Amino acid sequence: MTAAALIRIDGVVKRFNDVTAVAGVDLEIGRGELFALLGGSGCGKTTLLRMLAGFETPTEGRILIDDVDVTHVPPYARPVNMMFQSYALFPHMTVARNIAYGLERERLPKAEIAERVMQALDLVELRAHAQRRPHQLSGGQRQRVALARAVVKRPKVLLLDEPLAALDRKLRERTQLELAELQQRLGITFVMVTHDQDEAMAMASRIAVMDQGRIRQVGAPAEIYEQPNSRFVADFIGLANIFEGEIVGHADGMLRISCDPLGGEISAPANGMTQAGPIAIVIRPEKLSLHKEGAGAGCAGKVRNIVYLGDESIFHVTLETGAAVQITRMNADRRDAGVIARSDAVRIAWAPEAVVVMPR
Amino acid sequence: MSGRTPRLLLAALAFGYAFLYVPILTLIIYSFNESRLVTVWGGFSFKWWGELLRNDTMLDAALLSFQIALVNACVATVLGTMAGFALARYPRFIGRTAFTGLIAAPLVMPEVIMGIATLLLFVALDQLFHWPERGFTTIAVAHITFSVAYVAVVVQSRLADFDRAVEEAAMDLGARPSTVFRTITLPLIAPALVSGWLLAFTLSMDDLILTQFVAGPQSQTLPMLIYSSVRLGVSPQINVLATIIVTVVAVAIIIAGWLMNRTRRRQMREAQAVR
Repeated sequence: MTAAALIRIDGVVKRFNDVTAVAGVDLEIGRGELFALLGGSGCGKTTLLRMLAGFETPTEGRILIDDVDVTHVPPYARPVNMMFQSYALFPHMTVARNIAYGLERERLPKAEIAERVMQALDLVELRAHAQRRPHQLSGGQRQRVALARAVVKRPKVLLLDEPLAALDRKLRERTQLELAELQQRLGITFVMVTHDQDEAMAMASRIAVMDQGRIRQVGAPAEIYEQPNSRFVADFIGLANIFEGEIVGHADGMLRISCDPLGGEISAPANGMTQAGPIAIVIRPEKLSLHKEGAGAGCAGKVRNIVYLGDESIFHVTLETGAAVQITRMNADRRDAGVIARSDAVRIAWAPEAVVVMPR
Repeated sequence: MSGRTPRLLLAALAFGYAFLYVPILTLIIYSFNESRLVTVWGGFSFKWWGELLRNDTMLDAALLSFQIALVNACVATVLGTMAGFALARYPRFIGRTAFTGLIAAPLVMPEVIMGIATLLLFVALDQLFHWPERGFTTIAVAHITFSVAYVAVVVQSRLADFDRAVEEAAMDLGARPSTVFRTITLPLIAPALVSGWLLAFTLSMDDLILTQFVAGPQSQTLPMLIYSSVRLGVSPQINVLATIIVTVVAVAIIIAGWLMNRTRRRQMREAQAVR
């Protein structure tokens, strides 16, 4: 994170009548970040974004942008622009007029407006479509018009509400990269709301995982994936094998954990948790290795099902203890798929470092 | 696609059209009648068109009706738009139920009852304040009362499928609420305003029952004049007048239909492009 926080969210609570949408959020977002608010529907991420834009006023708490308290500043007076999920293009205006709208509100000279509109059109490669109406454009083109319209005012912060949700998958993946590149080029701080964890992982410099109006964890994508701080985060991001266990001792930074589903005692890095007592552990499916029954350590089990996904396969294994485990394996060799078949007896193994300990 | 339409269906269609349009057509043709009898063809002539243009009573009535319709349409459009906004945009406010009822009442209440009620109001007002004198003002107010309802319904339904995000986007881009309304909301609901205005204009132009209650002895609108002159014996001037009205109304309807069609087509195209 960069030195100075550009956005400071201070104990923000938002209640709609009896419903608490945001239940106390403290967050700092640095200059130049591409920050993602990630969570399921109804987790409060959109409400938080709308409070940053000024469409909602916090019930409690403050929002500062560039050290200015904007909590009660109306949307039209904030140094913030938003790209809407529906794009919200003005249907009665051409692409060029759509982009010029924000600049016209600033009463800039006509020549400057025209020039900046052209720059914005070039930025999104839509110069040829300047005189089209929104309904004459494809979904991807509209998305780019919305983007151009939102960045043309050079806001301090660009808010993006599910920016890619309306695009089909191929286009979405390409646009993810384009957006992230554009953010680098413009140096504008992006705050993006998404329910799509792949999107957040691929684009964001930091992610805040939200649930029930609260932030559960903030961190870089790798941090959130590799070091989830709670079962919720571990479960929400990616595939996860979560088991319950108990810390029974520790030595040299390693914990001894009694974990019945994995057939007894295992060890794991301590990560600051040494207090004996109940905990949960998570092992990511790609960190487990799968072998045909035979020699070696690990837990014995039986392949219940194999989901073939092309590049990789997901093996659903039931251990002798009764626990269900998912293991992903790259299909690196064309002949790999099928070496281990359904109903085969197998052993699973893992390195102690693969085990992440979390509060239960 | 090119399946033949059954003869019976075609006949029914022809009959339906004939039933609706032959009388109007006859009326138009007979406006060029030479004879002084409305039902007897005496040769082609512009005689009655000329007569009408010299008939001051008729022209005064037409002018009065036109003025009232104009004032009514403008005022009703403004008030109806405000009412439509209140209904569409504010799901909760004190007295909303009563307000909804108030707006809907003129749509369902028999006009005779509205006429009596309005007349009683004007009489009471006149006794108390010696205002308003029955005539132009009272007719216009009465017409506005019920026209507002129609405009409100049209505007409300237009606003119901209005994407609020578009207004928010404008505000986000630096437009104050009044600017948002002027540059975004108004242009987008313009078709509804146009059809509401035309609707109010037409309703006022041909209202007879309510008008008869609230018009004073001095003022006579076109429908009142036509109605009374028909009872005294029809002059072919009525045909001429009717021809003019039919033409005006038809043109207005065609314009309104064209406007609505255009927006619907645009919306459909937009919806298709999204998919």
